Amino acid sequence: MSSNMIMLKSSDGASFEIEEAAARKSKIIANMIEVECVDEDKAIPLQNVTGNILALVIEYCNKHIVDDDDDVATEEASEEEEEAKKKKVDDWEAEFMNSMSLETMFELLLAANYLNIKSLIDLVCQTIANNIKDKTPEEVRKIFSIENDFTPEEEEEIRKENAWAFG
Amino acid sequence: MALHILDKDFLCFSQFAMEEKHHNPKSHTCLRLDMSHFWSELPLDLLSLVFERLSYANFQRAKSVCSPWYSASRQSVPQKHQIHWLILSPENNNKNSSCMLFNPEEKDKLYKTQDLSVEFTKNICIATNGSWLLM
Repeated sequence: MSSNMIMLKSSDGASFEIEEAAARKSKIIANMIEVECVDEDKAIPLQNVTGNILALVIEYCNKHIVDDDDDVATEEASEEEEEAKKKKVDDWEAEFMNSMSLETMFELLLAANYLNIKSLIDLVCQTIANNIKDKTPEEVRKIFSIENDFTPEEEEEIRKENAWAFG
Repeated sequence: MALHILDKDFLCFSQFAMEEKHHNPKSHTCLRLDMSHFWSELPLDLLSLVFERLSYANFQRAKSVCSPWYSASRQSVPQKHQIHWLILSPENNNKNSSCMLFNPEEKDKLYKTQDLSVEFTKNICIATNGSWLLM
């Protein structure tokens, strides 16, 4: 393994090779690298992340490490170029989020939180918010398979407080 | 002349009593995946991050989805820096003392306030500052 690559191991035993720079998107992994001086052939075990979710996290980190490099190289890029680049990232992120189910999104959010990758947390939260937006509570419950655990009286009371919002 | 609080603060001041009664100990469980109701068990801090991205009206509706979401809404603030809403007083011959609220971001929607009393709707707003109206 080359010196700037590290190995991540998922909770179900899958191993992933990733550039250290990409892995450092995760504050937790960055800390592990600093503190524990990870051996070249030693993998970092991630107890709370399964292989399929870790693959998504790595895809995200790899994509964004390239973007960060671009930022350094084109510091004096014109406003138009900046905008075009931002749009490219936005498009990629939109497609990335579109490709997954809500269940996957849920696990990805927990993984991003556990690994402390701020920009990924923000991206997933925004996508979830977009799924809630402009919908009635009934529609939201259906989309997210959430059980209505209010008693009819409680629900009535909450609705009454905000009756205007349901107009 | 009376000083009134506009929109958001005015509409939500009565919620706190109700919210105090509600506490869901389950809402802090982490990394537990029970597919039937896992979205309601999203850790509170993450749920707050979602709620903070909702507009005020969406935030109010999301609260009534389930009790863990309701609890989470207590520690979240809906999106800041929103476009100001329009507040329309009822017409003179109308016995109803509710005002209509229009959010420019939701073009097809018109919200109705609770009954604000005839005194309120007869007054004229002479100045605004932040979310306050000087009547």
